Amino acid sequence: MSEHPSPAPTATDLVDTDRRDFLKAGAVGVAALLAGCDAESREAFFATHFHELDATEKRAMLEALEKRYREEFKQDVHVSATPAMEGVLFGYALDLSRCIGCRRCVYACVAENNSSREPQLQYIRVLRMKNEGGVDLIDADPYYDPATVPEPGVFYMPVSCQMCQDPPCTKVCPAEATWTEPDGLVVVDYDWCIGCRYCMAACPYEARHFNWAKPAVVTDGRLAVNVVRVEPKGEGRFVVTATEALDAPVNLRAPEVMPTIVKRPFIDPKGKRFFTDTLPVLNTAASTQADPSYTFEVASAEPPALTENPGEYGFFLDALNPDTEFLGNRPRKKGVVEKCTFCIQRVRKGRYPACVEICPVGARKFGNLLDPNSDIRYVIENKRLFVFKEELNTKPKFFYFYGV
Amino acid sequence: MLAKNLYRFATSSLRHVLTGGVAYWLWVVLLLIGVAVGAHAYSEQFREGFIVTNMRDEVCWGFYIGNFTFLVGIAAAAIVLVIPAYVYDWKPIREIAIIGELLAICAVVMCMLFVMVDVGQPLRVWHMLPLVGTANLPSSVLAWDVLTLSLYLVLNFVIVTHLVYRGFVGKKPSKAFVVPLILFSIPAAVGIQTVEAFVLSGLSARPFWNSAILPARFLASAFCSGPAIILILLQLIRRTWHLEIKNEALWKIAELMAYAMFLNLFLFGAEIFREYYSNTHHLLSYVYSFTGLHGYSAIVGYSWAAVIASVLAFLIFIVPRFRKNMFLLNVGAVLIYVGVYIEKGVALIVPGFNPSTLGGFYEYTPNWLELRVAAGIFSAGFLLFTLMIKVTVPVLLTRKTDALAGPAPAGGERAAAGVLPAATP
Repeated sequence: MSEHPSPAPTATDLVDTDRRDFLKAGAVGVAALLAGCDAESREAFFATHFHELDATEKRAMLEALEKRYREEFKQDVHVSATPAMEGVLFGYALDLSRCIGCRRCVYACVAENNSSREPQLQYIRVLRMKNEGGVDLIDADPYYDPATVPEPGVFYMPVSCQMCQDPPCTKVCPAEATWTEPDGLVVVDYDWCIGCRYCMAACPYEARHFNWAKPAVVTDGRLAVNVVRVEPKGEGRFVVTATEALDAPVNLRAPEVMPTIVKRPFIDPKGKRFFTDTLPVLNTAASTQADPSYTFEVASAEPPALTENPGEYGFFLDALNPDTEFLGNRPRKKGVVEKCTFCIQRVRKGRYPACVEICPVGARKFGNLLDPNSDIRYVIENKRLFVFKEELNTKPKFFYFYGV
Repeated sequence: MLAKNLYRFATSSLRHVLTGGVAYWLWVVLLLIGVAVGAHAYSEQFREGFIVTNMRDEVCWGFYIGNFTFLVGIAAAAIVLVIPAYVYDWKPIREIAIIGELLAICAVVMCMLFVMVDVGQPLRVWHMLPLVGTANLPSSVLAWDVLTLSLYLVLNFVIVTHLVYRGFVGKKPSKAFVVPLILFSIPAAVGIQTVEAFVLSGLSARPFWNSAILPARFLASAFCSGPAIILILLQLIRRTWHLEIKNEALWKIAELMAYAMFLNLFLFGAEIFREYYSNTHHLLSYVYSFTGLHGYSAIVGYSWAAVIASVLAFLIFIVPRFRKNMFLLNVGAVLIYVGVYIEKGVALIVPGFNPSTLGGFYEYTPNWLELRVAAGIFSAGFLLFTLMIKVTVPVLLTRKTDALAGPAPAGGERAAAGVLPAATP
């Protein structure tokens, strides 16, 4: 096979090589590849599909993963395989009239989901389009880079996985490595994906992303915030509301706050520039919401104090999120496809997706489509909605609406 | 008896492969160097990931899939020889139909190699096979594609092995066994090309491919590009082994190619008319291909080169006087090969992704590493073809009682010691 370099051939080698190559190509090629691989790849080669594992095998597999991640990241990583809840079908709605294009959701998502920072891999792509043009993709700019947002004359449309009820991506997968869960989440098994990228060609929303290189998850960086409100939520948890303190030095005090990151410059090896090195500042005056802020949950014995000194609190920016799910944010390897799961590791435990929590203007709504009292049902029943590319009949469970 | 014959067949084949002149060994060494270059490039991709290629999320398929698509066409084109030979019983071509089948085997092997180098987790490709893995059948066209290609490979391998082995032991081929297989290879060839086109044309997200006539265009272009290679190979084989291949056979193939190229250009024109006249957003991929859009124009040269080469080749092949001129015939064959290769390799795949589904542009052309990997796979394919032809031709030359072919001139031993010159189409 042509996978491995061979030493300069001699006359007798030639015969050997030829016959090996063409008579026993398959077996020898695979054996050679296996021999040249690390233990993880060899294990994966003999793996069994997730759906065919019983409870004991699943537990053993999760423990093996935790062990491997502990060795790789020098920290405890919890991997669970939380089943879908009965009577739940997740849906999402995004208010285009509120979104200010600040891309906080993009980076909160990267951090929460342990996506690669280098090369950058982001589930959410925010398109900037002109007010007079409406949703016209050919004039959409995903690389807008102003000093402050929102800007006059434009609107912003964040696009991520639309969680189609009839997803083209799972239909085309040749290996059943991606599927729709009972609660409506379209997931990928990173240990089964062969990396053919057919799903990426099939997705009408650019919602699927490939790990072109080994994903780099852990780097440095923190974002300081001012805690302005703390409300108890019971069982040692508090809901914290904070505003950005961009100029403050960071001296992190709260151990468990929602991780997010600031933008870092990254130049693709090919020279293609993705995003710049600073997030745009929120222009509160131009925002539809007067007081952009972050709301997140903190586990703590005592309520976190309101900020007295600048820099007391901050978000972990580029830390590995240790709370992971098998079909969600567990660390990936190169050569597999990944995508938004509505933060499966959060929503199956009753929490909001990271993008919903971080949105400083409350443009993102999430909930159970089967629960008549949910936020998402309120939006569907009371607002004017549209789904993206309805003519493709993918039947998204992600809705866009105009709230104001 | 069978075991003894098989042993004799194997050792004799080995002897044919191992005996050759200086030119033969230079050619083999050149191909082995090509394989080594490709393997070295691939090892870098295997180690570092696909970041070392020019593909990215926006253009997630590139040169590898383009080559794969092209080679499926080459594999299917074997039937351009098989149909006149066996369906219309046209004798001049029947003697050489086996060359087409050998080419099909090599093309499918190269297809498989291009699939292997284009997946991020090559060790897991068995996941998409039925029975051993979890093939997503019937819904995934790619799973069908791999399955049908594998069957087509086995089919052609069985046919060729049967013909050559029977010829070797001096028996007639079993008509009851091999003729149904040969006839079945005709719909099978149409099938692999159709399934391959469905892989692309089934994607509603990509208007450039999402066209009902894409499979027809694939078939038409395959029935030009495959025979283009066969035309040149037949001349090389004729010169090297003095195997009797009549000019009439070459001209008949050229005539069939002219019809196929007409159909190819007609279908292309039908697409162009629909898109430009209706002028919807779906036109943008064509504008990107032929004039560039928003300042992005990396593909424009490729697209025009493909069209111009195809039109010129059509003009050469449609005029009987031109195609019967051996020099013009070869110019036309090269033009067709180049035209279809550029079209399938780059000009078909890249505009499917530009503009992207969210309206973005990413200028993809294959980089040096992708070109080296592809060169390695082509070297492996040529090497396989060289070795198989080295085993096959002496048998073609010596079998005198073959029911499927007429008497061939003697000279097997001379042929066995003959040389095969470097032959890159």
